[in-house]
Amino acid sequence: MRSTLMIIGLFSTLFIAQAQAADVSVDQAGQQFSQSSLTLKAGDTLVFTNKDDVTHNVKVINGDDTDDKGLQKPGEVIKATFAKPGTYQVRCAIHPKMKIDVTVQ
Amino acid sequence: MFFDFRAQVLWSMCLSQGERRTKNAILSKLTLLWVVFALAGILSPDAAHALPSFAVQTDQPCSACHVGSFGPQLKPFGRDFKLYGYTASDGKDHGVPLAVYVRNSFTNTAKTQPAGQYPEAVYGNSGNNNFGLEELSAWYAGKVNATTGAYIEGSFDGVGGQLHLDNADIRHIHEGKIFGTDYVAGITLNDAPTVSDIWNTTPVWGFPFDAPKMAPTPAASALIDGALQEAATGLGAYIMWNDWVYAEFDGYKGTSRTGLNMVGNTPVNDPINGNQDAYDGIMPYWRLAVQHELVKNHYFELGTYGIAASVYPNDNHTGGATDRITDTAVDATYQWLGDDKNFISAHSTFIHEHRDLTESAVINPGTNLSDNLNEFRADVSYSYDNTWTPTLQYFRTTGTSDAVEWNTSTGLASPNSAGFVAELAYVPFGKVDSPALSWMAYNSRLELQYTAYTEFDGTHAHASNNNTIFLDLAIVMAPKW
Repeated sequence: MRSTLMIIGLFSTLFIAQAQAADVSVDQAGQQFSQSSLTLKAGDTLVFTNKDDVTHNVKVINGDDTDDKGLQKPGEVIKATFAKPGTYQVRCAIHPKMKIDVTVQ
Repeated sequence: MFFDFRAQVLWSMCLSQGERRTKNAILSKLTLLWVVFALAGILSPDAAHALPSFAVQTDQPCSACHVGSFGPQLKPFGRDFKLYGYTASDGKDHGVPLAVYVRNSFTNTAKTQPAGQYPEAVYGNSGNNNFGLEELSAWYAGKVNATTGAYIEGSFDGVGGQLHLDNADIRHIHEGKIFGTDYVAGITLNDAPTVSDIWNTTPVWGFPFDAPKMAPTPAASALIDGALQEAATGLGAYIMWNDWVYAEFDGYKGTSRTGLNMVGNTPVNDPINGNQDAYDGIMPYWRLAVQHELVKNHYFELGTYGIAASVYPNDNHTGGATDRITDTAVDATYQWLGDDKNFISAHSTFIHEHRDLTESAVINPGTNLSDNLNEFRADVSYSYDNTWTPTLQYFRTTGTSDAVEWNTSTGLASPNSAGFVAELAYVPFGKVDSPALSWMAYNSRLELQYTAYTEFDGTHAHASNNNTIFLDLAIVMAPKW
């Protein structure tokens, strides 16, 4: 009985954590991100929508690790999930001033 | 009319050997070439953008960086691209970043140009109406690695008949934070003061971006306003902090006569003691500017720049001293970033030059011991649909009367000149929805320019004799490797 409760509790915790993971929208318009800094929870996802008429790029940088999400044509959506806590920077490799500082808790 | 060997080689793409090179034949070829490129673009099924070399690297249309979809007037992203060392990229391997450019012109001058005034001109010259091969250029322009980029231009000047190293700027950048705020800093190796600048107020990249070579121009201009272009080598450092404050400091060394010969700045058949000035020691160049979008879509820049140089006039050292020339300038930019179809730019600069003419006074008796020269320029342009860009500029030069120093065409002692430049540029390609070729990026610009003088080399009388009409067609191409 005790072990059954533990298993249920573990699954519940996982389910709640999963349910709490959120999608956060970020627009690319006017060759700028709509936010310059963000605080997320581990597991949250940034959803980038290119509202410009030119190509963008999304690159997630964490120290020496870089996750290049590739090119993003006008109208396209790119998602980036932040699984681990830490400090990240999201950049567009084409437009060097497009940056977001992301803190994942 | 005969071409020299270099011109024959450079034009072999357009003209068959032995063809009689009349102006009409050449113009017909150029018109045909332009039409071919235009049709090729229109008929291409490729939906990608029409892009020159930087545009290929970034997967952006020319209009993303340039006002009116054609260089060199920069929009905010264009300034950033240069600031970040030409390194911004779509991440793909585009091979060696090369581009070629040809620009031909028709110039009508109110004053008849003496026959043979430009003896090396590819199309010859005489009278009031002249055709000119203004420029045939090739670039290495783009990213070298993640933090290094280059803009190196070699040109054939079809009016001066000279193959030469044109503008060059090699950069290495570094990014970081100061007081928790972003900065981008870099070092630049370049071949003229203000080549490294990101604003279109300073001389190298200022309006008019292309001016007629076969037309009279005022005798007097400040040192920083052209005399050092491709005649010096500079190494400097710059920083942009918080996207607000820009500072740059460079040291320039005048290029030796041998060096000038090597890079084609001075014809090799010039006499050893030619008439080109030589520069002693290091010339410090400074640049400070602040920029901000104070109100949404309203961008402002305010800055200062200058240079100080010790000069041997005409490379003559007989006086045992040097002239000391100090240029101090202020500049301002306003841009209304507007919307996709409308863009307004305004630029202005004022350059004050003080000339301590200790050496000149010895070499050329009658020269003042010191002179001052002031240059003012202001222009405003409106770009519609990234296609039509009319521009109007007012310019004025004033200074101390000095019959020997200015060596004016009128024989007067005054360096004063003033007038207006009106221009209409048409750029059919280089936009988001422009058709493209899968193997080559390209763009072209047709511009009509009128220069009207109200004063020329110290006199209002007959100043309009120097008025000029200039029709200019430029075509730029870059391979998509």
